[in-house]
Amino acid sequence: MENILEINDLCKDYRSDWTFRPTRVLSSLGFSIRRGECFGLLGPNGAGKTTTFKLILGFLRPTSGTILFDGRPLTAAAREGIGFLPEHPYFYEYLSVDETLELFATLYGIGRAHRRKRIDEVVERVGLGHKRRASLRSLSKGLMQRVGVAQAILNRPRLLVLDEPMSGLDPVGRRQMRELIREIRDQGTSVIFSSHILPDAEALCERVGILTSGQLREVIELADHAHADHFEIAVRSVNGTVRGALERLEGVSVIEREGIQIVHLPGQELVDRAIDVIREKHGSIQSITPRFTSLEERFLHHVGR
Amino acid sequence: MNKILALALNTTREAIRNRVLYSIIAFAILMVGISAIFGSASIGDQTRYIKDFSLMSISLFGVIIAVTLGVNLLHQELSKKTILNTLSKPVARWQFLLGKFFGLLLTLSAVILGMALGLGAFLTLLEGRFDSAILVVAFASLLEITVVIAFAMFFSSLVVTPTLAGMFTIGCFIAGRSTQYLDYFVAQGSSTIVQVITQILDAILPRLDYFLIGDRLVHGDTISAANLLYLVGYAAAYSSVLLLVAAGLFSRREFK
Repeated sequence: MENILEINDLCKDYRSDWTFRPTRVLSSLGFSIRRGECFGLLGPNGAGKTTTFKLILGFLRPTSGTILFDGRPLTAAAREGIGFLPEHPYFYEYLSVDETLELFATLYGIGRAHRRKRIDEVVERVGLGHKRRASLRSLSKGLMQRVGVAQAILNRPRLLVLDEPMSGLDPVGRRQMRELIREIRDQGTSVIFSSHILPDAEALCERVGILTSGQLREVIELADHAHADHFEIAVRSVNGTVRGALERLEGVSVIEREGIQIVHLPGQELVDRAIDVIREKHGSIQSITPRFTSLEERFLHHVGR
Repeated sequence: MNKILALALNTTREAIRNRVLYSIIAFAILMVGISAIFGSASIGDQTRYIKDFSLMSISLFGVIIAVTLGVNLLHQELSKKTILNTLSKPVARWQFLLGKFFGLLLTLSAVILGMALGLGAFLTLLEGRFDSAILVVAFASLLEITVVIAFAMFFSSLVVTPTLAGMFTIGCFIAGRSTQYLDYFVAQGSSTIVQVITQILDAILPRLDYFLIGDRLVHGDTISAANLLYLVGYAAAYSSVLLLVAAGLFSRREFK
């Protein structure tokens, strides 16, 4: 199976405590996570990112729809293959780093024989070796986030769910977190993380989904995103005939800017045809410029700002 | 089983590092101390007075600890959101609930045993011999506390606020200690509706008065092994039913 996680037509309603009237917070959500990919779930606050994760992890029950992990419905036992870092990694503050990891390793069902070795590995990997005996209440936000990642990867998860992993981190912390996520993904773990920080998603993800008001608006392949999605040709000596011929091409528009006609082409396939038209009518091409719609522009388009 | 044990030990660790527990224990020790002072000033059997008062204090403070910590166990997990980390692991909700239950039971076992041994040591100084009946009474108190913890877990799964869960648990404790008085209504031959209500309450409410064996043992009576075994069975059965319902309720709960 190519996908590690499949979400189909997922809906979630919350009911008011007093009137019992339902409010839809997630609507027909559907996407999948491929094995070994990093998927970013982007959206403004209140878009439904955390609700999606809570449904994946079984903290909430779907109103309708299905979630399949490795092709099977999610049960408590299936969570053996999932690691989770909540948005605010609240842990038992009376425990030390070592005690925390010992507890979670036991809950993951890691046998006593392997537990200590595995804890040693993850502690070193997240750079917490010097803080093993420290009480959690004495740790900074950045170090707590590292404890969060350490407990989430103890079980060598096949899917890592990170809710706003960069939230509250300083630039150095964010960079370290990005490197850690990249390293985990490179070792074959599928990662889904939520964020509203677009550069983080661009730096890490193969694909991103834009979620607003409980609806998935678009899933973007960031590899494709690197290619230009529209072009502009600057043309001199364009008479009415040339302009008319260009505007007859589907989706093409022409505007005049400082005596130069700017021909806007919505796709690469139109570039050759537009050039042919211009040459045929003896126009003079000044430049051909590929244009990109940034992730930010697409995000803001969906958010409606 | 390992997961339940890990959660239980963590709950015990949490309780041990909780200052509220020490405040209550300190107050309980103070009460035992006061009983010793009053006992020494009393006319007649000084040690019997101390035993009576101290055993009552141990039982009462055990219940107070059970209610205070019991109703807060789930509430704190929910309000601090630590439950999200735990339940994101391959842990079923009933395992989480049982872990919490056994953790608190383990804590209270240690507290009750410690206080009973302390009382025993003090009385040994006065009487010149260790009275093992103190340990039997303490054990019966612990059985009663087991039922009280199960009530605390049950109400914590049902209602949202710890205050409400605490009030319901204390209400059930008081009702359970008073169940014997229901017999009075039955004997009085009240109206049919009162009889029916009385019988329903008699069937539902726990007979916590069964566990009050301190009076008998302090006054020199004995309790048979069969009787003690019955108490163990009763506490285990009643707590199991409560925990089963609590697990059902808890598994339906959503964590927004």
